[in-house]
Amino acid sequence: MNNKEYISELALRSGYTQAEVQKMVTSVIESMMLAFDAGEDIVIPTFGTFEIKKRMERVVNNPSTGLKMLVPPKLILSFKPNASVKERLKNGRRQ
Amino acid sequence: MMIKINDLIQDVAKEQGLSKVEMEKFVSLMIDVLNEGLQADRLVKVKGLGTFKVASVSARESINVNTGERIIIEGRDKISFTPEATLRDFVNRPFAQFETVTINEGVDIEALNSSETEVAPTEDSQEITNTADVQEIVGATKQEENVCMFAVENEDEVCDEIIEDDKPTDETSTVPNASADEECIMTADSNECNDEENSNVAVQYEVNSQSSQQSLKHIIILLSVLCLVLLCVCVGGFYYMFTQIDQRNQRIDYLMTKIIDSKKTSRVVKSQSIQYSDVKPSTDNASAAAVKQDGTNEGESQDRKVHTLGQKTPMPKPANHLQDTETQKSDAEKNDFSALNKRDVRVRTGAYRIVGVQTTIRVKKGQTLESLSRLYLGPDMECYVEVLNDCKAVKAGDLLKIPALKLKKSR
Repeated sequence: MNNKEYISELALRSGYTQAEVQKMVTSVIESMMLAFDAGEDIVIPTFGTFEIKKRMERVVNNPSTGLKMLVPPKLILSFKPNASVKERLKNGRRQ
Repeated sequence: MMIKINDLIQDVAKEQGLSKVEMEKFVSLMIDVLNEGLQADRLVKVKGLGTFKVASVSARESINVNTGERIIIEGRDKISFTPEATLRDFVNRPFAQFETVTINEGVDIEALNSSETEVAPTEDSQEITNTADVQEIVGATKQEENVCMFAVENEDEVCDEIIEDDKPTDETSTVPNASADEECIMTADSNECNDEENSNVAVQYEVNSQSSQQSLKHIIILLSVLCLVLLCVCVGGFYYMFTQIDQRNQRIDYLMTKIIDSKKTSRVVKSQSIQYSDVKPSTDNASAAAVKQDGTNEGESQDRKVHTLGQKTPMPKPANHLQDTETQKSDAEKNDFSALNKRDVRVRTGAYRIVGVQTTIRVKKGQTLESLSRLYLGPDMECYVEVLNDCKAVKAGDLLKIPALKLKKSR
């Protein structure tokens, strides 16, 4: 399901036009980004948690050249699904 | 630190000119659609946010830490989330100015000891020579192929078969050797390192000179071994080619003799049948049939008569001929599909080739060739169905053959 399909499905169910839905979705995501900027985690009750984690710097070996490289620390956005979502997936697999 | 999504959307609701309740409904709908999309398609892309994917983890065995028992962790599905590049960069803004840097030799003393730094450059050179030699080998095989092409120009198909047969064997024969060589030398290197460490020779200058000399020796040994391998491959390739050509010549000779024989027998039969004028029409037909079948069929009395009349047909032939016809038959089947495979550019250059007919189905209303091929073979495989059925579109009620595909050997 790509973005287009997602938006059209959402438009179908909510009754807004696709353009409106796209605008609303982006604004929701923008507000989420603002929250991330403030260093906050976002909990979506029926879905999961988005949180920002820090990856420490590390030394890696380039296997083809044998050179050692220092990878800098970085902040990544991680997503942890809710227990209910996990359960639903498990059930879906069994069927 | 943690906030719920519903606290966030107040501003969004104001911005969009909606009430908070409506907005909450919308967000919950957003999540519902996301969840359902994940279950249905196992993948949902949301612009601005990223990709949610359901990845399946297969079952694995583990050990219970408390009891030490072996337990099997069942396979499960998990959701993976990959943020979009813009979002990823946005989140990582505070650390954006850092870049991955290479560590110069000798900077990190703990990680790098002296033996490692000495071994590293020799390994590099070995790798370079290896790749070069591999390229040489590939070139050599190509030359061989060209020679093949010239030698067997008359029968392209046979030649193709030879090349196809020839190539993988060559590569498989060279690659393990090369890897074995590498391993040998690697182990030699490690031994060397151990020796150096154990003995702890004081003067480093000597060690350096030794290692450089040894590395030179290694390179020479490697080169000579690779030359040998190349030679072996060449000889093997030529031998294979010659045997193939020889077999072909033998087959042609055999066919020629057979044709001549059949002509002779037919002539004899004709002359005889003129003498037996009372049974002439029937025997003539029978003799023609017999000559066509050439001793594969036995039983009918007329046939037998013809055989006794034309005793020039050699005895050991029938068995050989039977085998020959069988092989020809299977060849014909193969050629049938190979011709299909060659006819269309998409199939010729595609990753699969048609080896048979998997099933034959009747097209229902609303189904297209594309939808059916996607159902049976996966996306973008229409060309194989098109080529097998020799049609571009189907109607409801048509019979459609679904090809059995085989992955072409990777070269």
